Amino acid sequence: MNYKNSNLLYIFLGFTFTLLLSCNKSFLDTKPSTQFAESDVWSDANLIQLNMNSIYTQNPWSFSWTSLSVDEARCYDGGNDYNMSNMLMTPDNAGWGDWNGRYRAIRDCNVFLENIDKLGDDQALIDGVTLKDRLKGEATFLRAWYYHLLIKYFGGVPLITKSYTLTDDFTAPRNSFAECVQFISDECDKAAALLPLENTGENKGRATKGAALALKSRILLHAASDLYNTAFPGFSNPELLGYVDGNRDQRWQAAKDAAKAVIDLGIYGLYQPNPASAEEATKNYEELFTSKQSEEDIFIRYFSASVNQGADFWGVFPNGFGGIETNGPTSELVDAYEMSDGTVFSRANPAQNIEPYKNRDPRFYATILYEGAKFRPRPANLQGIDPVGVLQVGTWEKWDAEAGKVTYVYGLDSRNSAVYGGGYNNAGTSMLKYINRRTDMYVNHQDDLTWRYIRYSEIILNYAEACIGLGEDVEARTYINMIRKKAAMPDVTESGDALKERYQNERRIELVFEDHRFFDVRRWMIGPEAYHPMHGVDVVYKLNPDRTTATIPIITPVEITTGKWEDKAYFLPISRDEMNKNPKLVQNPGYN
Amino acid sequence: MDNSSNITLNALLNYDRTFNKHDVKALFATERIAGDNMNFWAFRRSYTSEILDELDLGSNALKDNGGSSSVVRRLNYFGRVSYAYDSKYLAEFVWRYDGSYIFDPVGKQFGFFPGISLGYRISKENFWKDNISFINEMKIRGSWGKTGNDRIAPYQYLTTYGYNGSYVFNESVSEQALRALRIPNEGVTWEIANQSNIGFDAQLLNNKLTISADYFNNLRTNILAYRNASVPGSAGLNLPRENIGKVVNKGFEFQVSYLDNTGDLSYQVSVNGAYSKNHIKFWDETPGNPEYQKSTGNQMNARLYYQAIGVFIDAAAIDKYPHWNGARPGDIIFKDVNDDGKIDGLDRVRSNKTTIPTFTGGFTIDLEYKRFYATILFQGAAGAERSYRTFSGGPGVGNFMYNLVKDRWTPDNPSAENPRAWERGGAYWMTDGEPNNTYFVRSSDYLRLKNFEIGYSLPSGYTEKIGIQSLRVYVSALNFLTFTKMKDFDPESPDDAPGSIWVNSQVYPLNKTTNIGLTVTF
Repeated sequence: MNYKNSNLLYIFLGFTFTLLLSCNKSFLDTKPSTQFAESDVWSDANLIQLNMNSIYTQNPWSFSWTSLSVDEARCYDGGNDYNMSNMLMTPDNAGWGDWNGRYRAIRDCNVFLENIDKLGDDQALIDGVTLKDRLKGEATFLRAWYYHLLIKYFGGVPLITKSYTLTDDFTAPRNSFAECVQFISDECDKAAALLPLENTGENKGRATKGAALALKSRILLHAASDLYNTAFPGFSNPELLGYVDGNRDQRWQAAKDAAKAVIDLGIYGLYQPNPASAEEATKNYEELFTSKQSEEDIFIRYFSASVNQGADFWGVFPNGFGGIETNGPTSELVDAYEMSDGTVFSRANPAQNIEPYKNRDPRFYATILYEGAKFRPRPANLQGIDPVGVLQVGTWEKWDAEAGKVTYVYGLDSRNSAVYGGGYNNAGTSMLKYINRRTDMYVNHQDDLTWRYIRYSEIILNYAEACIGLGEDVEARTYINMIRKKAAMPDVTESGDALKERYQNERRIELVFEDHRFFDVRRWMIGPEAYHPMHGVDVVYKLNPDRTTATIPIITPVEITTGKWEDKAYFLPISRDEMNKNPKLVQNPGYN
Repeated sequence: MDNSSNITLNALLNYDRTFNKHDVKALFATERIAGDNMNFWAFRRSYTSEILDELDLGSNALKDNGGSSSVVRRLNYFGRVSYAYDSKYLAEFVWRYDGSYIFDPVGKQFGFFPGISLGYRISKENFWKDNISFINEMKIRGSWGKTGNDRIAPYQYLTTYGYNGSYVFNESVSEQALRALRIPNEGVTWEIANQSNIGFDAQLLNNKLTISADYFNNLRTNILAYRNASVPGSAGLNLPRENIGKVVNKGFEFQVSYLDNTGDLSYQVSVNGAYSKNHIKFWDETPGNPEYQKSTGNQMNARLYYQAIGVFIDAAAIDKYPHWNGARPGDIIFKDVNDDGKIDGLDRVRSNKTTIPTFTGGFTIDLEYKRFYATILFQGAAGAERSYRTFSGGPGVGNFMYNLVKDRWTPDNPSAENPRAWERGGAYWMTDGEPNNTYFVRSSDYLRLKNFEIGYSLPSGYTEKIGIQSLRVYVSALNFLTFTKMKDFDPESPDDAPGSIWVNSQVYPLNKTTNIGLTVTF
């Protein structure tokens, strides 16, 4: 290399280095290309609304939800449900209540409420309120909603109303039950003042004034219930699990007023309150849960197959119709339905025992599929076996003349089904409520569904229960009988404890599979009635002496799961991890 | 369709000079990486004709599109200065100054990572040559250096919002949902690995024996991990990565091989092995956890297990020992580790093993004797454990290992080694596929004859008579012998199949393959 050339080289290198070094500062400073920066979100009304949507998406639901953990339904295989039925809950297998999930949603509400004022004011009214008020109202309501989901499981929980940053002290003690109820109730009032009475157009499905007032009704009814007005024996922090002072009658009165406030809005009604016949009542009840909208809807969530966001019915469809039927109604639930004349069903009554599914409360036929109940057409290849399309969980004893012995033919929806034997339920029944009979599992698992978190019937029942609590039996009966009438059932006429008992069964039937029973048996402190060995039915079409097969099956209750009750189950355990991370927490009784 | 531009600009200055016995090299370089990636896709289905494949000519009903983009920016400066004297003393200094777009522009983007290495070829010294002549070559070396790691999702110093699901309004109007992806950690920066090592290379006995050995001690600091062990759920946070971990990894590795021939026999024997074990010096801990559950002091990713100490023979045995609520005869006995008279989560103990072996090694022999030859490869590993579990099929009872079934507890076989038959959901000692106790976790130590082959080549004199240039016959086998206590599973297979019961391909035992072969060349 000669001198001249190497000089040129140095010049070139110097140039390149200068190029590389010169723009180094800004060169590395990039912005995410597929994510929005925080400042962009909170200055844009559209993005803020999309952020609100994400708080809605965290609202849980499921067809079986708490049914499998109480006496509504059973599924063959379920670790947590088994543990609950057998009182094996511990802080080490705690998953009930989804503590972490709820608090993530609560944090999103907190962030939302801290930032929403960055949105500029716009006085334009949509459905009678400004956008900012509506959004504040929604966040306020949803935060109260998520807290209510928590306290139903745990009693008082830490009330966290600010969003943490990474350097904060995260430990927080549980607030008392009374404080939590007060918070939820106050927040509902705040939200009700901000939210529209009704949403129209694309805002349908958002929270309304009615939703906020209805949540208040629900939480105040909880607050007045036995569980929160009875000290848990031997527990050092009774304030976490209920009231330690004050007047219970005032709580009943507050619950009554809160329910009445919803009723007095005058915009809700019972769906088809005056059916002409039992058949019509059955049809109405089924329609209510398969309809997209109804006058009962107070707080709902839509699922729509047309935008590929339908509800997946595979889990609850009978296995001979393409599903796996995980939510098998128990014999205990079946037996809780009254006869259509309002008398109690009894296995001890021979006629009722032989044909248990005959002449029952009309709602039964819209809620539960049982042996021989008509459902929907079978797929083409099975129509030869079952041209009508009925639930088949039974076993047929048939005489095989050639072999000279009995053979067994198993129903298409039984666990020995030739179609699909993997059904998860051995209850001998399948859930019908919510299921649209037109849904064909062999075409699409998804279908439309309107999930009703709160519907008007609950408010009517809440009102009636508060009246009973106050000793206002006449008023209570009036409202209970509205629900009875809607179901084409005769009026209740009882008073006092007998009325309370009728009421409790009415609520159990009307709101079955709607995430109420699990909490109601706790509120009412009737755990032992709901937790014990659970039964399904064994259905056999017997071989007659003349070697023909009976057409009416023998239906025998059989134990399908073990079960028992311990009082610790009135409240659920906080997970050991959470306890250890937050030393200020106190564990619920029975879990230490 | 992808539109990517990845531009890497490099500038290097190299200096290389030798004078007398001094050898000096230097390098100064800079590197600028700019990546801009964009992708876009679109499809339509149901074309009436196959003749024209324009996007526009497909059905309107079945069409969709999507796309995304990303940016990458890195700016690195690095260099090296090395000096050698007479090929005897060797020294080198290396350094990097790396900038990454992943971190906060305010002071967190750049990291400085120097390193130094020294070598001494002691066998070049006269005193060595004169005195220790049977060691032909001996080099002692050592090094220390830092490297940085930024391989995490970018922008964790920012609060960003991304689309996350959607929600339906008014019966059938789907709206997107926008959610904060995490809370920001402005301090996030480079994870650092300090690597130091000392070792030697030697050749002995006229270069027949080669030995090389190393001892290393690596200290990783500022490890980018989530603080999810200590932040309670009630905070509701989606955590960012934080520079919180500190782990040391120490060990050694060696390789020895001997090559020789005597008469017609030529052979080579080699052994290699490596031992390494990491040890957490600092980690995010759940404050209320007892000492024996802490991660600190253990290996990374060591799990918590209940200690299985047998099977309850009968109801009397259950009464005698603390047990999980609802325990039945035939259930696994958990040890009451903290002696508090009850079995709960506090009786779990952090394992001192992980799924990664601490020792791995191999042993090879190559032999040739006249026209015969043989190769043998053994390999083995020790110090790891893996789960021994079943993947259940349908509801209730599912698939079980024969080895678990055959000596299981039954009322007639109460003093069995294995627990009773169980339903998937019901048993406290078998939670859905995840082993929670040591019964389902077993040593995966093994020694395996991985490969062996013996063969014979016929003399060409014979074969040429029948028009064949060469002919070789051989027998070979893969995985022919395995010595291990791990039954049913391949001890080499990864442990992490859970999550999906369908990932069975990872857990089936290996095939044992035996070949008898003939190689003919015409």
